[in-house]
Amino acid sequence: MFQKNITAIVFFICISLCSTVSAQIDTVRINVDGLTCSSCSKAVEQKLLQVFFVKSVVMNLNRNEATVLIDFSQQIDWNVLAKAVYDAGFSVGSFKVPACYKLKNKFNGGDCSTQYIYIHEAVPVPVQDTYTLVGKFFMDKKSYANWKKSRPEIASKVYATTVYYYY
Amino acid sequence: MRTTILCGLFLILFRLTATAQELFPHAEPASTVPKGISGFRFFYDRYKEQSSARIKESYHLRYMLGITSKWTVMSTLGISNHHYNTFPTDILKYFFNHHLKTYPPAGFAVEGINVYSKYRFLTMDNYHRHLRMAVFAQGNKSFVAHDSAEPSLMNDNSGYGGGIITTFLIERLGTSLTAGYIHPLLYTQKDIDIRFQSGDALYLEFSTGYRVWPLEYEKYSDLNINLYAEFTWKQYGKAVVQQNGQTIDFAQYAVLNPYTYKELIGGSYVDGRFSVQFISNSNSRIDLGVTLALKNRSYNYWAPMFSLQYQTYLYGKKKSRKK
Repeated sequence: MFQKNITAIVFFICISLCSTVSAQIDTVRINVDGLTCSSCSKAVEQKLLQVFFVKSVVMNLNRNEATVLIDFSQQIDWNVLAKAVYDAGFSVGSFKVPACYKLKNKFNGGDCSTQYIYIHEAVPVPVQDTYTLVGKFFMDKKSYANWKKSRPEIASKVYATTVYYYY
Repeated sequence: MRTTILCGLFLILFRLTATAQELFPHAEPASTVPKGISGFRFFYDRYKEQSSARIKESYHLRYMLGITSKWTVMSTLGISNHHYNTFPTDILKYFFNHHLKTYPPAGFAVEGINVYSKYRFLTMDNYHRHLRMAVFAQGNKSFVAHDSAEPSLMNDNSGYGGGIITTFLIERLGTSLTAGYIHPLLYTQKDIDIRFQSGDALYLEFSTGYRVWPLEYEKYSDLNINLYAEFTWKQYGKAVVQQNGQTIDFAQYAVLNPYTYKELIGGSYVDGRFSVQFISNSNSRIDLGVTLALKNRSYNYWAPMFSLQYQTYLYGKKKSRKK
């Protein structure tokens, strides 16, 4: 059963291979592709810190992963966070957010289940700490292309919220 | 022999590369400055003009700005004692003798302003690797009288140029290839009715780098030490010098003044720049390098040329939270 939210088109897919590491409920984890040096990581960290709903960022300089502490008292838009990575000159490899049931009413002041759409085949929704977002700017190009091929009926409904992502 | 040793050193470095570094001291990589971020680079070059035993120095200050995540612009101001502001009245005496000890030396002058624009049009990012391509265009306004056939848009000649950059990093290997073109504009000086046209140039720059320290990152403040080897092949046309409407044929002076002749005819050369880079706090960096002539030579400088550079980025303030 799917619900489509006009204001925040964020799809999530529950992947059985999602990390088993239990994440803090206030953090998102972003794998950044293209990073090759600590200076590059610093540029990504600085751009993420400029996002107003980000409290802090911890970059793993060897695994190229950003752990971002979110201020859920602010209006959250994951697209803004992904854009910060692209503005730094790099790409999002994967984007993991806290599971909706853990956020409860913290996500944009309401029930986040109305703003996330679960599109995996498994029913009911598996209970996990994090979910991985799917979308053109939340995953690497190859993964996105493969996902579009595997779920064309869903992929056709996915669209970016803002045109400026089409760099 | 020197070429063999240096090429062998390069190949050893090639095989020993750890995580790749593309912060090349000389060539621009295809990567761009992050959007909204600005930075400064100061660079200093120094060499001994062996024919006169004079020390030639140049100072450059560059400002860089990321307009978008894919578009970077830069402007560089240069000051040096390489050139005279204008050609003197006795032009032949100048060309034959300006590089000798007996000729009055050039003082320091503002050489020119270079403007450079780079756009990254291909981005293929993956874990610890990327392939990127960018196109660039540049122009320079010179305030001095450049006096050799080889053109340069780093403040020497007024002119324009452009090219394409391909940067490829995969795990332990980082390389970049730049193909470029330079078209110098005609230099004219009315008081002595002289027209000086440097030749057009094509060039290729091949750069590679690797990190020797740290072996694995622990924190941003880890001191980064990187080694670079960069090679330039450049080919340029001959200079055309005219005074009072007559072309001066410097070929007739090839035997008596071989330096002047070689400085003004077309040519090509390969030089290599070898640098060590120190990065502090994953932001500011200092590069120390030496440029050597590997095959033939450039007449725009004398090898060895020593370089010192300092660069840092200025990151903006955090946006205040909405209330």
